[in-house]
Amino acid sequence: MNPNTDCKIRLTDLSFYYGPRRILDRINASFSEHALTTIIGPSGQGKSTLLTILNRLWEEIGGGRIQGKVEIRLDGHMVDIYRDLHPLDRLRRKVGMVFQEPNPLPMSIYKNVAFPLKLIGATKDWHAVEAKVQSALSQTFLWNEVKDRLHHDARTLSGGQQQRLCIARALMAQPEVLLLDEPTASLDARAAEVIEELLTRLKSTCTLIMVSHYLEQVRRVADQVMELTHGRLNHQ
Amino acid sequence: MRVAGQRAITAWSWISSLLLTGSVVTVVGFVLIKSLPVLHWRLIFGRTPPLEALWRWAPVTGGLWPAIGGTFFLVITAVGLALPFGLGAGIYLADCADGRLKRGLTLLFDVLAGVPSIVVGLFGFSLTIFLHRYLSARIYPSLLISALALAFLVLPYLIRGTQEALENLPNALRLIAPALGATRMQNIFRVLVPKALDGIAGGVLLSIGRCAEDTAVIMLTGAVASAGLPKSLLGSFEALPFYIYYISSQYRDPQELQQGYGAALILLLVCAVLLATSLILKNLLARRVRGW
Repeated sequence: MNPNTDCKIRLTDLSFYYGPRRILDRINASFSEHALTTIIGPSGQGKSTLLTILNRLWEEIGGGRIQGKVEIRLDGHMVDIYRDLHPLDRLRRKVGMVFQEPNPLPMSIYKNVAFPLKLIGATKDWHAVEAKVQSALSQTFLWNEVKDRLHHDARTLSGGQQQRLCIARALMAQPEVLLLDEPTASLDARAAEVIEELLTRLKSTCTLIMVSHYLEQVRRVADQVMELTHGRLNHQ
Repeated sequence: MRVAGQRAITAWSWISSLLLTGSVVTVVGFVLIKSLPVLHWRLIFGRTPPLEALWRWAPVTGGLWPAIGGTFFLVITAVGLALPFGLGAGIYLADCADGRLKRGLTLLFDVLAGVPSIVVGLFGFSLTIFLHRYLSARIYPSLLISALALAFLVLPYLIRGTQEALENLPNALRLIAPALGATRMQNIFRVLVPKALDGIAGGVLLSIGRCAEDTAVIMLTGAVASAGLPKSLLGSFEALPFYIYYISSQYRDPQELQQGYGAALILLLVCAVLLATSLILKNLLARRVRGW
């Protein structure tokens, strides 16, 4: 890996604490650009916490403390996300996240996907918004399934469709990094297969970091595998 | 033993539900039966023709029309004054305050909820005297003072209703919008508050009911027996609960007492209209936010 161009995320001596308990212990690691890196390891080791450190989402939960450096290449520049005063909302648009449970907002399919645009006030040009919504839904193989019911409640979709909707919603912000916290854990095999295919395609536009418990899945899709045990992250 | 216990709990739940439903039906039925003999346009408009009163704003004497109008204006003004502060404080307690400050403020609002309405009425009366003496000699007990005192009375319901509705939302929901780049305010107003609308509406409905029924506050701060329809916020007014209290304690013949029952039935209808209106508004708002 060329350290100047291929490295998308670099962790240096990263430690994380919840109260007195150390969850992550002086982690040093690099994540390649346009690759799908999977993080595996036993439950309760801090895999999800590690993801939320990369978009500073743990700060919304509170009670944690961080040490060390987290650098992410955003818009071509390496940014220390905890020291460089990078605007938080911009960071989270560039580093999107998809959760374990599909979590559509209590609104229509269309409004769910257009929600990130609404947040930045970019919904005045309706034609552009519609085009972007269609593009995101097509990218996640969902357009043909929902094009006739865009204004239905998003929660009426199946679990797999909801998860693809959440990925489409995350893609609307055009993220450079997409964090996925066990995105297929609550889905059946067929729905999981569709998501895997989608993730493989997304590598061309995003750097993907996925937490997974399914070793078969990891073998199928991962370019890079890391194991988190006892607070340490080891390359496989 | 476990089966017997479950049966006992089920039976007790049924008995409680039936007792409560029966109580409501009894009260409403009693008021309805007692007021049946006076249920006529004359109860509302007295000797004034209804169309004259409705379209030409003709003064109504011997009818409940001024008290109905006064109650509507009073409830809408009081809830309108309390709502922004109640929502603001509830949101602050649920999503911004923490630690000792949050515990202290929560306790303070709980104490406020327990203050008897007569005390709030006395405070409103004292405030009127103070303002009359030091601000303007034109300030007397009025609709505005009554509405302010009632707003103070119902603030805890709005605050705690909003706070609990927001705090009961699942944690997973709180993270969706921030993960997409939403600021704290965007998360609160675009996701959390719309999702908590049902709970917040509960506090608003409770406030409407409390404003419509309270007598102690308004009898000290502006309600009088024959003011006519309120002409301004600084004028005196009539209100149905005050009329019911007044007529039931000082009636001269059975006919007047029956009018009191008629007023009670109309007060129930006024409350039903206000509650239905607020529910419709809430549903319209929810539909607009959710977009289906």
